[in-house]
Amino acid sequence: MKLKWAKIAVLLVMAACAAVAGFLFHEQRVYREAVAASPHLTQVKKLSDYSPAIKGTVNDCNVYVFDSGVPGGTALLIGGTHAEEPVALVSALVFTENLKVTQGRVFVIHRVNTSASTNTRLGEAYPRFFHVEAPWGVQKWRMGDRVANPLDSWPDPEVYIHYPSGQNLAYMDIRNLNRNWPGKADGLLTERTTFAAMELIRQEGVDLTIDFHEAELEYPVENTIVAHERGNEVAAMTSMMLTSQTFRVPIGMEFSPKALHGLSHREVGDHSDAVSYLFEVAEPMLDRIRGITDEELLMSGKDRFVMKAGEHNLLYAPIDESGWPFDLRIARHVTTAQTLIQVNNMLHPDQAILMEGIPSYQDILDQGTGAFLRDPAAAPPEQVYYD
Amino acid sequence: MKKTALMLFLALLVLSLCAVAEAPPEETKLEGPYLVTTCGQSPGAVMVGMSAMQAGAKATYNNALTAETFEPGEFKTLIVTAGTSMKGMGAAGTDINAEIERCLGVIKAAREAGLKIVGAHIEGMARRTDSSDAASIEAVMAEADVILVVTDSDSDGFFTAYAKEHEKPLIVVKDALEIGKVL
Repeated sequence: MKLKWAKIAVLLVMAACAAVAGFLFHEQRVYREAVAASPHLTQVKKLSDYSPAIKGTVNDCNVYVFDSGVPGGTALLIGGTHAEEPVALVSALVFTENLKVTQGRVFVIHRVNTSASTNTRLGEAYPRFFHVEAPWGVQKWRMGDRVANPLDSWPDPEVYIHYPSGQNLAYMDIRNLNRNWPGKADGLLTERTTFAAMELIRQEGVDLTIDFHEAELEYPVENTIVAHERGNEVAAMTSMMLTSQTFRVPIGMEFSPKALHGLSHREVGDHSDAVSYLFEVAEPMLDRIRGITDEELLMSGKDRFVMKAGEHNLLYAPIDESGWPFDLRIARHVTTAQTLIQVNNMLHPDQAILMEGIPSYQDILDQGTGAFLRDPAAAPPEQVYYD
Repeated sequence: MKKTALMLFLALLVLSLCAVAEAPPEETKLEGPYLVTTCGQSPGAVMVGMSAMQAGAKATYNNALTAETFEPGEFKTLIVTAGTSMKGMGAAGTDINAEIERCLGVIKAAREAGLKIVGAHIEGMARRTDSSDAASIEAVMAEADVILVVTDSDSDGFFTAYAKEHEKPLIVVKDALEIGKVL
């Protein structure tokens, strides 16, 4: 009799745990992220406007369009490739909420792999959400995983064979958006997403793409611009200018490997006329040797275990007591994107894009990212969108 | 009036002495046109090329240059940038041993053609992290007539000590963007 009641008690406890977990997962999956777009936004399209391959899926994301109406170049800024790298999302958002384009066009995507933002990494205890304080209140976003949610893309193959190269990759990389370029119209979710993004790039005649990322300090490709070979000179000059004049920690440059397939910096350049770039910035929370994995670490970028690794020369980026705070990481990405576009204007005047309204590196450091986010509750309803 | 003239004379004297003191020694004077390559497929050679272009110096970079394809033409100086990139070597389908062999061949051919050899390290501590970087630096600097580095690359004094030990002239510039000023 006692055993029976013990079993019932265990079942009830398990059911309660499942109910709480289910509620938390559901809350993360359905949370809508508000965007109070710049008044100079000209149009919001859906990714499926460029290919039906993605229509009706969670990855049919918003595409924010800034068209000056003046002939010039076209840039595409991509955030959200890896949802556990939140600076990529917010850097893109800083453009959408502040940008005015006076020549050429700029397209912005915040959540190119929305599905990845609706789950979390198993066993890593990531926070489900992260927050930024603004003068008007607090803005909140989902903190997701590197790969798409298995609820949206399942099952994974035994071995993921990249299309069209035929290169073998790890099975879970079929859900890693930055292993699936240039995509496949009848493939799995992330393949279809990149296929639709490639259609956007081809149909809109995009001249350059920038894919925002963050990386652990243990990773050798760190604080850098990875460039397709057609962008080597623009990336080199951008790196030299920022290192010389703006950044305390230098930003480097890397050539995109020709034999490593599926990455945006390789495939976008190979399969379209656009020149593809990928930016990396240091994010201690992604390091394997980090301590407590909470929102405090995500935002401050301070971790004594990562610092200890640095003292033993085990890292590819410097770190000290000041860490790698969120605002610094945002400032680097936003400034690198602006500078790269300016350098591209100099070297390719026919692709000129002139932008206004974007905060400077020092503005973001001095005032914080929140100072450049608009209040969705106070913005005119026609300027508010949801990712 | 005499006092003013004397002060002016002294000021001019001081200025001219400063100018003499700051003039680069003959051994560190670099002469173009420049041929640039990389030992380790890092973007260093591209950066030298871009910095030279901005400064109005004539520089040509070729990361696939070999002793066989080397043409001295009008080049006066060969610059080889050290420090490696795994992505870059992957992109070029090569490795550090092949890179060192290629660059030593180019250096030999350039020296025979009368070019001055500059060993450069211009991408900072980010290109001094592993054994490939060390091998690239060791191979290039051993053959250099002049060493050219940015401040960050020498932040631990490695190149200053190396140049002193091997009695090679050393040029230190603030960063890669400033390279053009010494070309």
